[in-house]
Amino acid sequence: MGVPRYLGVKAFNLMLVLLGVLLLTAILFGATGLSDKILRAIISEEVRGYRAQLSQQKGLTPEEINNLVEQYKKNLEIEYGLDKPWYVRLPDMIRRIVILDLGTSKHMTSFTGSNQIRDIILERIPYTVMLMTTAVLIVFAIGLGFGTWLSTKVGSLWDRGLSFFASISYATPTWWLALLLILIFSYYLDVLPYGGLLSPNPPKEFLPRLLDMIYHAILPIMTLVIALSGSAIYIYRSILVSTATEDFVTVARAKGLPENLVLRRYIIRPSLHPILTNLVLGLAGSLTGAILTETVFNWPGMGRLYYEAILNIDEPLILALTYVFTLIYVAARFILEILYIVVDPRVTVE
Amino acid sequence: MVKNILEVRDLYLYYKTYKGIVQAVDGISFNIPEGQTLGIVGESGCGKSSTANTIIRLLPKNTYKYEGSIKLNGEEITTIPMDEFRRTIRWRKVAMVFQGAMNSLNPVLKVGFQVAEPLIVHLGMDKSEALDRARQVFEKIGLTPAFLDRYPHELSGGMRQRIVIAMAMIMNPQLLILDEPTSALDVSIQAQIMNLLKSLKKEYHLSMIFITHDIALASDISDLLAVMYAGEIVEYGPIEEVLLNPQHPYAQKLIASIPRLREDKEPEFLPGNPPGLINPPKGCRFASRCPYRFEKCSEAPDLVWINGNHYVKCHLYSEGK
Amino acid sequence: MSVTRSGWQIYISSLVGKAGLILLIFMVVASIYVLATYPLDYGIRVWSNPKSWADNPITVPPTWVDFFTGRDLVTHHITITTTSKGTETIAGLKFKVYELDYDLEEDGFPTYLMIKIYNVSMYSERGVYFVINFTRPDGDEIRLITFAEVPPPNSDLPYIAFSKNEKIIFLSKERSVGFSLLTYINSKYNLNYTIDKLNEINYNKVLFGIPTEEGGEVVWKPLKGVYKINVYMLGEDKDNIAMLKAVFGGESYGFLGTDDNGRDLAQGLLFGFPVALAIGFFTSIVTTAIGASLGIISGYKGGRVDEIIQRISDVVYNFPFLPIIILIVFIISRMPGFPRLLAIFGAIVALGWPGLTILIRSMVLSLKQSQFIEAARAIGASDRRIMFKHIFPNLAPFIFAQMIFFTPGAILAEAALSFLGLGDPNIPTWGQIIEESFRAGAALNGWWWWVLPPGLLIMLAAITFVFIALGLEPIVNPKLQER
Ligand SMILES: Nc1ncnc2c1ncn2[C@@H]1O[C@H](COP(=O)(O)OP(=O)(O)OP(=O)(O)O)[C@@H](O)[C@H]1O
Ligand SMILES: [Mg+2]
Repeated sequence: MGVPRYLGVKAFNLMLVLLGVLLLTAILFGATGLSDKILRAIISEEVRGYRAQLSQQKGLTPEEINNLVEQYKKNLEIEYGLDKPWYVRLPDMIRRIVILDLGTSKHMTSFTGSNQIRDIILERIPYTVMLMTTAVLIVFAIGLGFGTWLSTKVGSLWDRGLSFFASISYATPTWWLALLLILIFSYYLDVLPYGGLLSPNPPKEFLPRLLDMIYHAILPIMTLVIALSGSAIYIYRSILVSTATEDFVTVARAKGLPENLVLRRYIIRPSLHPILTNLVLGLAGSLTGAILTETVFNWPGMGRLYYEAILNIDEPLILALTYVFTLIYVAARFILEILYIVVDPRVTVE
Repeated sequence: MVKNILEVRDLYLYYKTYKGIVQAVDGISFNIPEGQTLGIVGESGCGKSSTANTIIRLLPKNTYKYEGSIKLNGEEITTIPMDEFRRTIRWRKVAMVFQGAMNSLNPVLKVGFQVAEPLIVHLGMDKSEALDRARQVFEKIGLTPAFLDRYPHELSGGMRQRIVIAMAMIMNPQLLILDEPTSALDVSIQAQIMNLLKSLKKEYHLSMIFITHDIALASDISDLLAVMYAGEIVEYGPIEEVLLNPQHPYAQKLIASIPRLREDKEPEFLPGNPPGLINPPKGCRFASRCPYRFEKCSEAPDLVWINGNHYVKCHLYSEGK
Repeated sequence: MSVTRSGWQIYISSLVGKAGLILLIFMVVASIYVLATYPLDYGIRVWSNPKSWADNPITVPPTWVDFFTGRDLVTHHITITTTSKGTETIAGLKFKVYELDYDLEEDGFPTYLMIKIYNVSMYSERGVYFVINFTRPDGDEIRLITFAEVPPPNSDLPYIAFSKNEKIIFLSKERSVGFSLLTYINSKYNLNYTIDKLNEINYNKVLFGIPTEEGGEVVWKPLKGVYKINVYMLGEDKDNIAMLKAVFGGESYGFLGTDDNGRDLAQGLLFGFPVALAIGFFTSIVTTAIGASLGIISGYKGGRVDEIIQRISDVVYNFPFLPIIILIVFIISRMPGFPRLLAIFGAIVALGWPGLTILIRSMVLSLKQSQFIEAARAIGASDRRIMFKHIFPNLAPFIFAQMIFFTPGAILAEAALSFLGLGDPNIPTWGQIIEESFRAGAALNGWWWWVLPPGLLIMLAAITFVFIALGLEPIVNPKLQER
């Protein structure tokens, strides 16, 4: 299988994932009657406005007003497709989301005041990326560093300690750890802010403002790093250990290669495939996982937005965010496939 | 007399496991004269690979005891510090083709580079020069230079085995250890590889250790034969002597089990299993399966020299019998 | 590959295996205790019912913190009486007397004082008249408050007052109590407090303390000893108070403190055990059953069926877990009357099965090659028989281990969803309790007892199954796990 064909197949599969998510979402909204309910709410809102407008005009009997309103409502229902069952409207709904025509939010506005969902989301993405990417990269450095170190100490006390630590860290809910750290660092020690992006009266100049932001990011990043490091070290250690037991590593040693070269070229290099899998999926996962962390720290990213959308029962926003999250995830998967081709000559051969 | 390229005396290699100490190599001694090939035969698990690993000092983490003397060209190599051993012995003087050569190549590096790599590391050659040398070796071994740019997964088993041999030959080693180099290959490829090895042996006057559990294969290429049983060499000597006139009951059984074309004797079958290498029996390790067993066999036998270069480890031949 | 006696021995010889089992036994015992002693509708009837917690102090730490802080915190105290002590004649009027005692032993002030009056039967339309007096250890008796209660016009006699809702008097907040106290302290201790000044220092300090002078300032110190609340009732002879309750607010409460509704956290957290176990078990059993069956069918049947199952599992496997599961739970739980925990359960199952399907399928593919399956097929065994009798038993230990391994994930997922407010507020799960503490800003207020224990319990539940899974690992040969 050549590279283009390989990527083509992967892209097709990922498109299926995207489509699957959309279908699932649309069916969930449709089959539970939620979609109808939303549309009806929108229509009755507009109808009310229309009636108010009509009653301003003089010379209309209540009878006439009622008729006009009734007619108006009928038109609206046809316009929104409420006269048809949800599964007939479904294709159009999916089409609109796919082309990122995400609509308007019912309750929320962007920081600049727009209620276009696209504006709201675009504004939030950088904050999420800033927070989560930093955390994931730190976790990656710690994980690969300690993982490599521990992979040379299989069975040692350190190694056994790690698997215990990894179990604990797996069992610790990140969002709870966040609360714990807030309790320690914001309440008892009172050295770090408990949440938010900036101080109440943030500095205006760029650099102090950035520093203020970083100051606010310390606690969430610390939470993520503590929560994720245990598993990361464990995973990278296991990957490296399994490569280190391969015959070609023994051969490399027999060839008289220095140990650091063996490690680099014969252990880490052949392990890049699973290492990248972990890193990239970790990045993608962290962006969606931000829902919990950002909620706790009131960090104005996409995750917090999702939480607020749920609190406000803002269906169009929920739908749009789900799609964007999936899109990010799918894009990451695709980048991963491309990276595979770079690091592993075996992938395009099936 | 020819000078010995390798002299091994009282070599031990024990492993520590949670079940106990594995006595994988238990006090073996042998010589290899320059330009000759020693075949080591024995059942699976008797310590053949461990013996080979000891010579190139690839000791696993759980090594419990590593003792004895190994002289390469008269120089004691067991006492060389690790880093110096790596730089001066490994691959420069002793190269090895490992058992399971299928996995001996790094899947993400081009095979040409893997073959040329020791030149870069040990001699500081630049990459293109080293690849040139690799190309020459490839041609010797019957591989087209186009293979230099291939990845291992793109090659068949026989090709890979040739590349592994090319890799072992690249530094012109004084001693080449081959650990079951053909066991994973089918018969026709096996023959090709054996022919290749024989021609290399002749052309470079190469000294080799050829490890196999197939005694017929060993006889094809070896000048000397060592028969291993449960961590010990029970018989060692020139190939014709050992094959035509085996002394040790185990060696006799083993040689009798070779199917022969022109004889109608049924190959013999050896009942029972070799003892485990954890807490092996005190006396002769073969005693439990030996038809000639007698009281003395409960004591460990010494080496008995049949003649100048042929010894056996069995009470049947000791003085006091 | 089968779990035999020696499998059990391997398991129990591993440290994590043993630890996991002990923790599991602990959790099961706690769950059984809850099921045996709590009402089944505990959530609605007790937990979310403010009446059950009305007598409790709000957001106070556990009683055992004394041990660490070194200060004796005032324990919560409730005194109840249902019988009158007798009658007493004051100024020619005959009063029925009810007495409520309280012994202040700790070096601190009760945080509040509240009195509750239940079911007062009145036999005349003139009603009754109450006088509440407060006797301090120093012998002083202070009249705190007086009030009358009259039956509504034309009501049947005897009329029972305070039957639907008890009469609650917050003695430590009530304004008229303030005035009584003001006169008392100003005359007794020669102070010249104004009512505003008194309001500043909380009545409970005055009720349960004496003023001392420290550096020219008046400082209130607690007065230890026995306090009495006397409720005098003037009415017909037959008039009667069914029950009187005095609540002396504690600075600490119970084994794990209380939340901002005064709920006993120990009780709620204990209830979380069976819920967590049930969620963990059911979701993992159902998920594993679906995942494994589809995997076996897909691997064994091959062809079109395989293609379809593989496609779907691949797609679902690649869903971004958290957003999708939130979405599913959110939408399902908006359907009126749909139990939210069921929605969470369903969502975890819906997203959880494909991993196992993919794994099992590849294992079945390699099993299919093996001789005994060929043999079974050769003698004409039906597909279903082969799958059930030959393939499944071979994979059973592995599937079992996977089920255990899935459990902590399910427990953590439920907790996370509850934390996001998607859980059922009427069922106190640990995640739910943390959600409430988060909304109340517990971490920002230092209410650690409301933050730490539920999280530790979630960890405990998850780690139990992680340990068991780790203990099972050496038994369930990892060779088959190879992709
Ligand atoms: N690192 C190790 N730790 C413990 N025991 C080991 C180790 N390596 C090998 N052994 C054991 O030592 C014994 C000798 O192993 P060795 O690999 O040398 O045998 P072999 O003769 O090469 O067998 P084969 O023909 O199967 O390759 C075997 O019983 C083996 O199980
Ligand atoms: Mg071997």
